Amino acid sequence: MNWINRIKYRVAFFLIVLLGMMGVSTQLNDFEIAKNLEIFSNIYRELNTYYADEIDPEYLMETGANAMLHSLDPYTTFIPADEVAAFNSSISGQYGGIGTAVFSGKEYVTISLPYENSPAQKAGLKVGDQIVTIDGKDMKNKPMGEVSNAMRGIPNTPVNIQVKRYGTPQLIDISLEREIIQVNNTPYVGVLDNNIGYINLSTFSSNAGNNVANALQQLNKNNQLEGVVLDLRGNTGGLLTEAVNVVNVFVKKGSVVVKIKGRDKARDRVFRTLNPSVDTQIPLVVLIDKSSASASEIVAGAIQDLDRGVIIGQRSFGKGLVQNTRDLPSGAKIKLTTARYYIPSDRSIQALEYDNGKPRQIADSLKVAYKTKGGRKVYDGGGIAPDITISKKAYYPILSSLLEDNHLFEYAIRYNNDNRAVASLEQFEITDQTFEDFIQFVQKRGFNYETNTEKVLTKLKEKVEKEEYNTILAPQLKAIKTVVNRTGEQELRNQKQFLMTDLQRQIAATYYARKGAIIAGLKNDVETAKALEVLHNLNQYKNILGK
Amino acid sequence: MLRIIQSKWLLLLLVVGGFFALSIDGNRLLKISQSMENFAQTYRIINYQYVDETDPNKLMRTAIDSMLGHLDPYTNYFSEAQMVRVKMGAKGGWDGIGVELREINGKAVVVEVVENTPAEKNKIQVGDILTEIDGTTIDDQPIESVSQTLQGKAGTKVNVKFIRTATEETLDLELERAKVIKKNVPYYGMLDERTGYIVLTTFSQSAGANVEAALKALQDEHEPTQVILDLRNNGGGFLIEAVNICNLFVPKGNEIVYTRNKIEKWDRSFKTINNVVDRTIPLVVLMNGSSASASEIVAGALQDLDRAVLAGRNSFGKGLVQNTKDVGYSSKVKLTTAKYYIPSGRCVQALEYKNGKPVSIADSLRKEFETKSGRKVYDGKGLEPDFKIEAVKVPLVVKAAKAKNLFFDYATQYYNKHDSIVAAKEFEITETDYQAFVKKATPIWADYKTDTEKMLDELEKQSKKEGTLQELGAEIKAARSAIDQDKKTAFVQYKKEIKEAIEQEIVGRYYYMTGQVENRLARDKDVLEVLKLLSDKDKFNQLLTPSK
Repeated sequence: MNWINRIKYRVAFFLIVLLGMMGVSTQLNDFEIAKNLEIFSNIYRELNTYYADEIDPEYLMETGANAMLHSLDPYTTFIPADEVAAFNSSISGQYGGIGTAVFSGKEYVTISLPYENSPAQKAGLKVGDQIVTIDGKDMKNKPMGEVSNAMRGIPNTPVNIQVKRYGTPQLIDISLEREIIQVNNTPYVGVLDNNIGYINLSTFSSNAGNNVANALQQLNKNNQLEGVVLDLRGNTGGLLTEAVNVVNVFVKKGSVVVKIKGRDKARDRVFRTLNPSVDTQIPLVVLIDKSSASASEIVAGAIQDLDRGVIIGQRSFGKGLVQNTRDLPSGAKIKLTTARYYIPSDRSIQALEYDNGKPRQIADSLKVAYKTKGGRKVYDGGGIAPDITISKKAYYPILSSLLEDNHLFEYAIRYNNDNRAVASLEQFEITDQTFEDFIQFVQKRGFNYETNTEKVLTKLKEKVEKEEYNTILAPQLKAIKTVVNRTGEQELRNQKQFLMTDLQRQIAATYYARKGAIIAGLKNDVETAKALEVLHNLNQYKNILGK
Repeated sequence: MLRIIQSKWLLLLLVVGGFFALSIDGNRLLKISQSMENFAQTYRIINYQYVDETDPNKLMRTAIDSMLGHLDPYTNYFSEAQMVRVKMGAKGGWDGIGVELREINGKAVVVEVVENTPAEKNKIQVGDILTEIDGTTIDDQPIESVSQTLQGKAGTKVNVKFIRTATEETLDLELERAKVIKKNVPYYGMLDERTGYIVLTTFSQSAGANVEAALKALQDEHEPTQVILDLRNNGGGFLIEAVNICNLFVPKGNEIVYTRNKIEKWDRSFKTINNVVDRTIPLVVLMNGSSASASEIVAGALQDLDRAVLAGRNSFGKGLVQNTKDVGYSSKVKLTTAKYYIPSGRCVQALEYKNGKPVSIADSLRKEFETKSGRKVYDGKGLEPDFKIEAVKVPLVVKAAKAKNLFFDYATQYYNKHDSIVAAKEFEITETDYQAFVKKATPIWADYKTDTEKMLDELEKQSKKEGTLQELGAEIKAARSAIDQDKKTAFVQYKKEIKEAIEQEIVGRYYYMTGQVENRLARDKDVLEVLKLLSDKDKFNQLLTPSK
């Protein structure tokens, strides 16, 4: 979510510029700042000298700094020196490591998805493997950062990992050689039925624009494309210039894609497409979901505002703030919001305002209407609203309940263990039988889907207890409980359609890694189906775009 | 609120200066200065470069509060603006006109008039609304800054305008500020022929001398054969005053409390240094969950030395000592510098702070100690009473009436209708008065939402969202009407408690806190239970004897 690389100013330079132009008007501020810093340093010294217990000075300072930064917005943060390396590689997408995504399991950090052709994949690490030791060092209950750091290192150096694998009684020793890991930002490009091209862009790291352009050119060359789907679901952003480059693939040179406006007007910038486009005519659908953020929203927003394509999915995240990093003494950094961005209709899609760090939805009444190039009405203040919304509101609560206890993941690991031979990457699909099996599985694991009503009922009981209404409310509470205490099973069945897709994706990942997951996730997928429908029906497509 | 007096702190500082360099290693110093530099740079960058204008004072406040909040709740920062109130809190006195204000419905309302102050002499009443100070209306000012403006050096003049709602009068007064001192011993007297009773509300300056004077006065006039020291709701104050009070009952040369700091050399032992007033008189200390800090030193030391029976409920459990330090620009930081240990060697601190979050000390980690005579006592959970008395339950209707200021408003009205009342001890409101209160309170109580009702609203909202309201609606409605029915009976069912609360509030207007104590003594369950205990000498002595 940072465009730091391209827009990187030296702090010193910036300060000089600022001090030069601030002159008289901020003398008061300068005084307040100096005064406050003196007070802070006195307090800090007193604490470090006299506080009754030993305290960690770094931790203490970071606590203060973080609170201060978070009171501005959640993207303004302090990055301690020892996390700077990880932070840099998260931006560049490049580091010496084994090439896998991991998550924090119950006791051990666990492999969630090895990347294609990575040392992890080549050495046979599998989804679900729990990392027990690294180079002999016990990793039980270690934080994820520590485990990730232990796997990272200088390229071409060896690393030995011991994993616990479902269904294998003894630990498995795996030796790998670290490599520069370049995470492929277009993990799957292909053709959906009847000559509709499909490009999945997972993140806006370097070359995202080029990769999308090449993908489209390849697809065009090998097929009689009637339309193309750009999938930005789950893509949380990255470099701003790459967003511009991706838009450029579909939009002619010289179009304004995004404007950056900050406190210092002299630094405001307008980003236009700089290159000849690949295809300005081909019908385009952009898929977004609620986690499509930042650079994803610039792309979806510009495509919408320029009437270049149809947006399908769910309302996007709504992040319209731009961050930059600044270096601090001793190697730490701060990341701070320096500007807002505005898409071609001139709207900001920032969905939340921050009042002392607390997010507040922008009220509908305060949302302003803007017009796309062709005159369609669009609104600011709430992410990108799709032209066709596939509502998942009823699905999210049960999905997050499932994710909380890793039910999908654990089921996939077991499925993989129980089904050694499955259909090929392209053919893989789960059956209704699998869905029934899954329902049994989660119930055996004690899946307890708690509705909000159920949560409130628990709190209500506490209050009743405290205020001694037990006796007089006993019959009502009993009756309410029977209604509320429905098992989650019905709700699981109600959401079968969406759930099947996610389950299929999760299981495919255990066999065919990321690419397999994406392909499996497109089958029987409501959003993809809608995209195909629109692209196959040019009248409908044009109608939506007001053409 | 425990503090070592300032001069001793200065002495400590001088001692510290000498060996500071040696005691803290170079690595740590480097870490400190680097962190400081990182912070300073961060602060400058966000103030100059953040997308929107920032408020440097607010940002710094946030940083400091969070940093201190991660240590413990007693480590706080006071900016220049907040200092006046802090000073007054610590010493129990300040220079001003002698009122305490609270914001009620957006107005600055007098909630307390201190005895023997310009406010009292000029007949300012509790309930009066302050509207102007020196010709400036105070409409939107925060109550802290209003209180601060009222204060000033003794002898200076201030013009104030009050509105008395009950009589629609406006009071336009020029007052000369004076020293305002709140009593810390609002009451002492005899409960019966044998029992002296002393109430101490806070360990402010002269607390020791005042309790001593009370004890001696009782001895001279009534020769009590047993004494109750009431420390309920006493949240503490100066450590040294706790030592002074113990000294009244414990001979010279006994260690009362020991403070342990980060560096051993700063540790201090506080002993009784004066001649004892009465080393043998049977003594009961009353305490409750709000007895904290200096109260716990007194109660704890007297328990550990087997000098008193502790009665009531577990005390709060604050075993940390704070000191206040100047940090420039008239602001101060109050920080925890030590833990204190009472004579058995235990610390009463009940909570540990992990990143500022309170964590109860597990029972398995609590250690056993022995009092002087060998009774078993434990650390880590405040003080446990030797003689436990269950707390009186406050009915919901009384809590609600307090929250809605119903007693306060009623007393204000009452005071304006009655020039005087009978002695505090005898005061009771009439049935007519009670019914007048009920009439006023009934609609407000009916509208008042109990937590249960609020949760029913939330349940309705959520079930509507989740589509189950059709099934739940009737039950929610039935629950609400059951509560409504119950509410209707409250004024009959809890008449005794409500009446007492009204009477307490009214008596306070005429006779201050002294009158409030007198008024409630005859029905104070804790006191009555203690008197029963004191009349059973065997039981009393047995409580102070180690079990075999």
